[in-house]
Amino acid sequence: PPPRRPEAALPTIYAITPTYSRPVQKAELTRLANTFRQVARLHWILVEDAAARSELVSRFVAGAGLPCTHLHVPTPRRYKRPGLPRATEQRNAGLAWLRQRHQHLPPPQPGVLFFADDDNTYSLELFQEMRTTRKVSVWPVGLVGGRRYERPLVENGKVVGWYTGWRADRPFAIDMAGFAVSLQVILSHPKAVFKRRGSQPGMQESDFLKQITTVEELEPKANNCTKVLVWHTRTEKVNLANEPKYHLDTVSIEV
Amino acid sequence: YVYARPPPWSDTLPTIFVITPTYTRPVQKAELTRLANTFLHVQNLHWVVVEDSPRRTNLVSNLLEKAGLNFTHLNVETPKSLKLGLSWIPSHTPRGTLQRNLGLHWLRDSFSNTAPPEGVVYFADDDNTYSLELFEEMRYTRRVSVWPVAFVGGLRYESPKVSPAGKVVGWKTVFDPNRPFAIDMAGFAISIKLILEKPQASFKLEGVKGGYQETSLLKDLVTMDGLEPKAANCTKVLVWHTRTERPTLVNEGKRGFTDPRVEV
Repeated sequence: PPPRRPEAALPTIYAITPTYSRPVQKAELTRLANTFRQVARLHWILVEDAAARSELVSRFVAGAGLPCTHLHVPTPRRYKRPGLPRATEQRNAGLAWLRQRHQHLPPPQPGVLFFADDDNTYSLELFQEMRTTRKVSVWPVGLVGGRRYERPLVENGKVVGWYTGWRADRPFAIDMAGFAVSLQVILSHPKAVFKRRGSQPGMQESDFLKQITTVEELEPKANNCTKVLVWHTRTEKVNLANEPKYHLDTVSIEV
Repeated sequence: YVYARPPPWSDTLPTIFVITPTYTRPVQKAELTRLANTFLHVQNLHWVVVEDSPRRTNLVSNLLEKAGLNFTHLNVETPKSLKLGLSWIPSHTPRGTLQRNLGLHWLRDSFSNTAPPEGVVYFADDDNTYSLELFEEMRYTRRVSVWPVAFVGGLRYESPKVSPAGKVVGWKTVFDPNRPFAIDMAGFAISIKLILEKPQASFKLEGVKGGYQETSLLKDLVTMDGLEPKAANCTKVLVWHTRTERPTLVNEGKRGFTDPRVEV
C-alpha cells in the first residue's frame, strides 16, 4: 500500500448531508457517523430541512464524534411536491457555508466536497479515491437508475459517455452520489448552486455540474469507473401501526 | 487502498462474538459494508458471518478479507423444503435460523478443548443499525442481558418492562406481550459461559409461531427474573430494526443489462 501522508497534509473531505425528520432519521445518522468517523479529516456538514435546529439532531451532533457543522433551512412548501427535486435548499446552504467560511482564509485550503444523502451506503475506499480530486471526480454508483449500477464510461482516462438507465442524453448523466468537487472549484465558481427555476426533474446533478466543469475535465476514479464503492440504498418506511393514540408510555424515549 | 483497522485487541476486555446471518441479494454488499464500518470501532469484536448458501461466496470472502476485522466465515444453505419420508414438506424454518445455529455450533466447537474467553454472543442481522454504545452495554453480560429495540412489533420501539428494583417483570409490546420472551433478536446478548454451559440450547427449526423464535432459544438459557436490563434500565434506544428497500432493477431486463463481472 502507498505510504500514508502525514495527516496535516491531507485535503479535508466535506460531506454535505441534507436530512429531515422521520422515524429512521437517528438510525440513518448513526450509521453514517459510524462510517464517517473512520475517515481522517472529514468534516460533516449536516443541514436539516427545518425552520429551527431540532433537539434530536442537536443532541446527535454534540455526541457525533467527528467535526460537524449543524445548519438548517426549511424547504418552501411550494417545492414539497412529488416529482420535484428534494434537498436543493439544504445542499445550497452547505455550499454557502463553505464559501462564507473560506472567503477570508488564504488559499490554498485543499479540500474536496461531496453530497452524502443520509440513507446511502459508503465504503471507506471511496474516501481515499475522492481525496485526490483536483477539480471534479466521478465514479460508479450502485443500485440506482433501475440498474445494479450506473457509471461513467471511460476511455484513455477520460469520461466519454454515461452508462445509465435513465436519460443518458443528459450532459452529466450521473447521480448525486457519483461525484466530488474540489473546494477550489466551488470557491472559484461562487454562483454555482442547485437550481429550482428552469430545472427539469432529474436534471439537478447535470445542471449543477455544467456550471463548474466540462465532461472533458472530469477525473475518473475507482479504477477507471469499474468498481462500485457507493450504493444508493433506501430504507423502508417503518411500520408504526401499533403505536397507541391514548395511554402513551410513562416515559418519553427518543428513537 | 489502505485498510482500516479496529482498536488493538485487549487481553483483559471481554470479547463480543457477533453472529450475522446473510444471504445474496443486490443490497448484500452495501449492508455488510456499513456493518463493517460500525464494527471497526468496537474493541475485541469477532464477527461470525454465516452465509445462507451452498458455498462461501467470493463477494463475502473478499469483503471480510479487506474489512480488517477479526472474523470467521461460515455457510449453511437453508433447504427450500424438508424431505420427510417420501414427501417434500415446505420448510417453515424462519430466515436465518440454521445460520445462527451454525454460529453457535462453531463457538461451542471452538472452545470444546480450550478455555473460552470472557464475553458475549450477539445476533446482529445485516440490515439493522447499531450504535457503538450498544456494544459497551452488552460487553459485561453475566448471563443474558436485554434492552429496547426500535421499529419492531409495529411500534417506535419495544422494550422489556423493568421494575424499580431493576428486574425485568414483563414486556412493553402490543404484539403478544405474553410470550415468555417478547423480545426481538436484536434485543439481547448471551454470555459465552452460558452458551457453553447449555450445549443443547439452540433456535428451534420447525413449528415456531411467528414471534417465538427468540423464545425458542432463551427458554433453555434463562428465566425472566434472571435477565439483566441494560441501556439505563431499558430507557434508551441503542439499536434500530431498520429494513432496506428492495432496489428496483427494472432496467436490467430479463437477461440482465449491466456487466455481471462488476460486483455490486
